[in-house]
Amino acid sequence: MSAQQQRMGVAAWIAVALAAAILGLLIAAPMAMVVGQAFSKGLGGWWQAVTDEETLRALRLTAVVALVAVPINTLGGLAAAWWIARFRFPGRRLAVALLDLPLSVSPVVAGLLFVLLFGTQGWWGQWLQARDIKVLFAVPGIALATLFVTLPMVARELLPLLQSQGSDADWAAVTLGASGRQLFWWVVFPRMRWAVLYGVLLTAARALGEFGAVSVVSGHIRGETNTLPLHIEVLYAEYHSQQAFAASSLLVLAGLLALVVRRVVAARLPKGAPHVH
Amino acid sequence: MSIEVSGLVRRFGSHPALDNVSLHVGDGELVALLGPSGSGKTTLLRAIAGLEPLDAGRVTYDGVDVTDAPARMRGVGFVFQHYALFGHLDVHENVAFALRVRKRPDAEVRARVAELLDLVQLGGFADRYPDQLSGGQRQRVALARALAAEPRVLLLDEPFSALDAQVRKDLRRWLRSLHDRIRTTCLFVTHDQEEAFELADRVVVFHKGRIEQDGPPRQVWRQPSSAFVLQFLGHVNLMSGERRGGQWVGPGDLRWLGAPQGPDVAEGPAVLGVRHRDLAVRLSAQAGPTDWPVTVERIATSGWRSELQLRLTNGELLTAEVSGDELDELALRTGDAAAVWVRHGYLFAA
Repeated sequence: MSAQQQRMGVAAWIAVALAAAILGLLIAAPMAMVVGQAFSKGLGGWWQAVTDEETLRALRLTAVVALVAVPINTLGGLAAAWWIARFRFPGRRLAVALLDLPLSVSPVVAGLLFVLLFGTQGWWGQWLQARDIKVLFAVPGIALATLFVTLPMVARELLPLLQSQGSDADWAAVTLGASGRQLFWWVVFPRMRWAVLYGVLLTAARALGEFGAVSVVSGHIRGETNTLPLHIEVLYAEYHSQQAFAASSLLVLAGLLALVVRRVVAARLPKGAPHVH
Repeated sequence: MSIEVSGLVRRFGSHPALDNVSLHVGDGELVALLGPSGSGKTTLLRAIAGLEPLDAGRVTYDGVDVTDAPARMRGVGFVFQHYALFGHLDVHENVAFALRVRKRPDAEVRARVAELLDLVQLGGFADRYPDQLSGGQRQRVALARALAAEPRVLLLDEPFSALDAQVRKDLRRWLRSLHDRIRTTCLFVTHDQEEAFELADRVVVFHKGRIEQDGPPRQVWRQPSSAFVLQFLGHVNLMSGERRGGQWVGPGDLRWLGAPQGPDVAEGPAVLGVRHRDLAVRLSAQAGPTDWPVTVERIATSGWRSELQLRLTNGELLTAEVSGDELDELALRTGDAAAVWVRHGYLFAA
């Protein structure tokens, strides 16, 4: 570390103090509150709240939704990123913009989109009702809404990497005799595996925690269509605050776990300037 | 292996990257595809490898039509400008790639890779990763990788252009000696005329998606087939004028009575091309009756040779190259009057 970095002026001290205050006030203190409240009735109280029938059902639903969203959006994201990075086609810019849409639009609007499509008054509502297929206020609707909001995560991680790597190594593998499968598993995938893992992590974190879009399509049927975040809100609204915080502590735990994995993965991603050579 | 391409057409939108290109490369030849960027030379190389879809034309290897054969079945070795090594594999596995694809036994792979690394003088580098190597080393790994499966033809796309001048020169000579030993048919793309002339048995000059000239290096140098080739080879003055009564007449009643190098042109508009070293300079006092009077505008000396910028009375600027000794003898300074005459000139119909 250089001497200049060690000597800090008054302004720098003020900035650091301000940052520390904001971090403490807005992040550390609330987090501590969540944990404190979760254990306010002791370890036994926390365990009881966490193993409550409805909480477990909500937890299971959230896990199922994440297990649907992560693989689909990982494969879809891989394909979309490769397609956009490697091919020139009309509407390519539009495809990039559409890929970003789920990130820029409010989750509530995303949820309403699905109501518009699948609701009884919606475009496909009558058709679905006639065949007794339930999408809205059921697990398929929740999965779809989660799919929508987590759609861009993997593709967004891969696209810049693919673009900076260029396609010469792929061509080289082809001239050396690689089949399509060998090309993918020996060259394409290994060169982006850490970025894929990073994207998967972001997708999983968002899928577990999504509230807005899921809230619109779920119908809040207790023990059936309440995901963990929705269940927490219900508990809190009914003044079961210790139970709400106990359930929240599960999401906090998942978040912390994601942070740790993220740090490990981020260290292995190519850093700084794109790898041209 | 011999390669024959005929009537190749490749369009990007309305722009033809290859405009009806036909070329024969004999077995064991080392051919340079030379031209400015965007002239179609890289597109041709990629088309021969099967990496570029074609709008028309056929490609044959030893008389067998491979136009529709996928690139991975063609058995070519391709070397890319920016090496295109596999960054997640070490040098050994990079070189072994083509053998792994073919599922050769491990012992054979190891023996072959060791042999190839010796060939490219990187014996001790098997465990390194590409980002631990210099540019020249990376390109030699790329060469070893391309040679691993004993390709029938070696295609190199601007293989040395990303390297330092000295490394480039060394690697160029090394490639020539490698080719003399293994005798694989070899095509390489370059925009550097010096590289093409030093390395190749035959130089093919590209311009706007067409072959402008095709011949041995000395012939291309001595008999450029067009004003474009002469200009692309560099260090040349080009002047527009016309062929009239056995003379070339330029603006300001500039006349040249000499016989052109190469073919003559018919009466009418004609471009006179004079290489810098073929424009002779003398003092005004010794000027002959057909010399052109000039004023010395600038003298740039780089070691053993000097370039003189000379202004004609019609306002045009010419460049003459003289040796250091000649310049000492002339003792010219900026602003002096002098005279020039054309030692050798080329004429092209304009």
